[in-house]
Amino acid sequence: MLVQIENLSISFQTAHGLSHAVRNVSLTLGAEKLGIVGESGSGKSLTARSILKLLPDSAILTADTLTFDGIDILRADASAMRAIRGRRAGLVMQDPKFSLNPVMSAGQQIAEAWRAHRKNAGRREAMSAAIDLLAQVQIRDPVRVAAAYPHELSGGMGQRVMIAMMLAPDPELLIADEPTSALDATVQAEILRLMEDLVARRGMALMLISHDLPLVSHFCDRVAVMYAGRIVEEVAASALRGATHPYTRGLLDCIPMLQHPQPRLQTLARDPSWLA
Amino acid sequence: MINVEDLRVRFGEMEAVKGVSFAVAEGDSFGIVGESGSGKSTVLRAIAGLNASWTGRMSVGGELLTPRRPKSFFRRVQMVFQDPYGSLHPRQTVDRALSEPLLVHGIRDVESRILRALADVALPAAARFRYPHQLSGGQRQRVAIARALMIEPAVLLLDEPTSALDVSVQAEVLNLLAELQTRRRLTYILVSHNLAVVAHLCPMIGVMQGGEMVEMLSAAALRAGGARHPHTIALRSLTVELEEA
Amino acid sequence: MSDAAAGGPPPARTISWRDWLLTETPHSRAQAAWGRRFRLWLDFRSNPLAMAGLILALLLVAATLAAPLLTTQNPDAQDLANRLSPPSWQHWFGTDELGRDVYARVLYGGRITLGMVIAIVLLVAPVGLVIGCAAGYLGGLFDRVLMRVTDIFLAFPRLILALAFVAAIKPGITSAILAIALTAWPPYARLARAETLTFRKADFVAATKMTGASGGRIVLRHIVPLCLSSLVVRVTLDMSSIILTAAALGFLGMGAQPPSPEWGAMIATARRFILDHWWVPTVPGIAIFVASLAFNLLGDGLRDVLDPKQR
Repeated sequence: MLVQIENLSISFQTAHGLSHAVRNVSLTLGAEKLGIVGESGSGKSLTARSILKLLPDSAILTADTLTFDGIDILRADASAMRAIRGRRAGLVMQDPKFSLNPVMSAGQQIAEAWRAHRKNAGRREAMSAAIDLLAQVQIRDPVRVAAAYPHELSGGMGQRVMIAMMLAPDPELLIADEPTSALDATVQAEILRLMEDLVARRGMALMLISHDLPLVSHFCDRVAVMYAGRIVEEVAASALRGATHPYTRGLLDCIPMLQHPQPRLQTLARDPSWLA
Repeated sequence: MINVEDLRVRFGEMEAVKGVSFAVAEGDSFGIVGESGSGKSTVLRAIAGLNASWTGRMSVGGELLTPRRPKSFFRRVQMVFQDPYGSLHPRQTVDRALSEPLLVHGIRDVESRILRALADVALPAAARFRYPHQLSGGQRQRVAIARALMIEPAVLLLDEPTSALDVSVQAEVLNLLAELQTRRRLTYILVSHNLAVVAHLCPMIGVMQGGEMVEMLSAAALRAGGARHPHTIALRSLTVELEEA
Repeated sequence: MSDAAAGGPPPARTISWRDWLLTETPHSRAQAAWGRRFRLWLDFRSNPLAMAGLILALLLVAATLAAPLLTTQNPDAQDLANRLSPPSWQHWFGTDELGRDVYARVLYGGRITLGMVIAIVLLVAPVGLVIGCAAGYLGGLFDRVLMRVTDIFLAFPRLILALAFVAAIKPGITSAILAIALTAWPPYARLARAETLTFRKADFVAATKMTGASGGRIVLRHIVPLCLSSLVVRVTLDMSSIILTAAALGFLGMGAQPPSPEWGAMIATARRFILDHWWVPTVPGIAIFVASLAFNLLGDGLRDVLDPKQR
């Protein structure tokens, strides 16, 4: 197993005592596509980011097991984490506008990511690798895009550049945190198909974090549904329609459907027993 | 109730809306669907009077609209914005946000109207003196809806009112909007990128792309696969693909 | 605002008073507003340097106001037999070249110096705030003209402009206040304009427009309150430089005139004795230093609490 998480808890110190953002979460991930779904504040992002130890300074992280390819993340020091972050596991975030450097061209940024993990590579070699990567993320005119600056790219194009940058060091795991929520529906489908294809071709693991249950189940093998810091249900994506937990069912039922109109949408009645 | 004819909006060199026409009957809902940059929000802001650089003919309730709107216009037309956090003043309590429109229009019984407005959008009375940062996203959007309804307008312009919300909250807000419409005979124009949301609330839908309204069809026709424009067909098939997964 | 809950076992009534302020569900506008202020105060109080600044500033103001209680000496009473006597029990900070008590002069001088500062702030801050917010909100020609005017004022060396202004009328405290006020408002207008620009396009401004409110109402009731906190911070931080400018004008003979014990003027007249009778110019110098420091610390603390970028 590439990632093993057992009894992961993340809490924050507040004025009113400890607040628990993630409680006793256990997950494993191999070379597959795992979706983590939940509403805002469910702890889905924190859970995924704990693998990279990319948590706010004030977060208190505890777990029985938290390993990446056998490396104990809880005990890993800063240099061990740097060897994982970016190199062996990449993170694609929601808005490429904020995660790309505005004063470097797209090509330069990808080339830099590529060189950072290859000691003896030259500048020219890196740039041609960058253009090759841009072609891999299905950009039609990679040479032109490589010379472009982030503000000259559309949202979908920026997200492709971001993915190319994360792929540069040949990672084993790609964590995508709401990678398409800032994009239009047509572009969203393209980006997800692209990620699906790349992951399959490279034998990578993908962790897709999203609030959109149907979308995630469409693209992933397995879906973990989080509610208030817990995983309430873990199902095979193909079996999602047969999910049993009332929260998962409720989430599916309250989405307006084009094909199955209802005069009034069902709402989610939150049961306090889900927190137990 | 609302008539828009050949509406064009320019931002400098760029024409963001290139001749859009549609009409909405009183008590009806019209939905505008499109991707980012299609000009759908620009149409709404032009109707709302938030953008003065437009040409064409627009009328609300038979009255022609001018670039600068008189105060009476805002008693008839109100708007709900996409991001409920950004549309509420960060230093003003719910009470202040709701009383402001009443003060502007010199309406007296502030106290009773605020209590009724809170009840109308199913907000607890305890929320009245809270600041926006003390409320959840869904509660904030309820406040924004309550504010828009304070001076009892006839038309509500909805700019992606649920896209910043979780789906469970989205369902509650959409139900609330539907309920308010039947209770008060409101006329809606709803702008969204989500085809299913628009089709849920609006019997008539206009699809926008690149500043033009490329197709206008009924929600029933859309469901039945009666779309003709390739963009509408593409949007529909994406939605259907996810629904049937 | 005092806080009884800080020390000793708090009586039951204190707790309910605290809870009333900190409740998440206030029952009136006043309670909500005071609750917000109380939270800011709690934040401010947890910053020791800021509290030191606040206490120091309050002590200075209180001391100058209570000057007649703190000294029996008359600041203008000359005693030529006791010229330039060093600090003693009789004269805590010694006497100056005319035998006047330096301690009394520093205390009474604080009234003039701090009074000037407060007058300047009260004159300048509202003007800068309203001009800046209006320029930022309205944009267009109004904005361009105003900003070029502030450019001109900002490009002038402040002290020299003030000097020219004072020279053109007659030297004195009133003209010093007017001169400094004239040169001090442009930065505030700039600041308020920059703040306004950050939320001019925000949805809540559009939502306020949709209520049908007039431009004046939007600026005064919705935009000005948002710019207020950064302005307060800036003003507090600027107080020290205003004190220094006022002192510099006094030192150059353009501010308060000799018999009155303004701190800068005191240093100016005493500069001849700096080597042999150090206490005469040093004591008002220390007063200027302490006052500037107090306002700077206070401003830094206020920035931590009020900065809109942090909350």
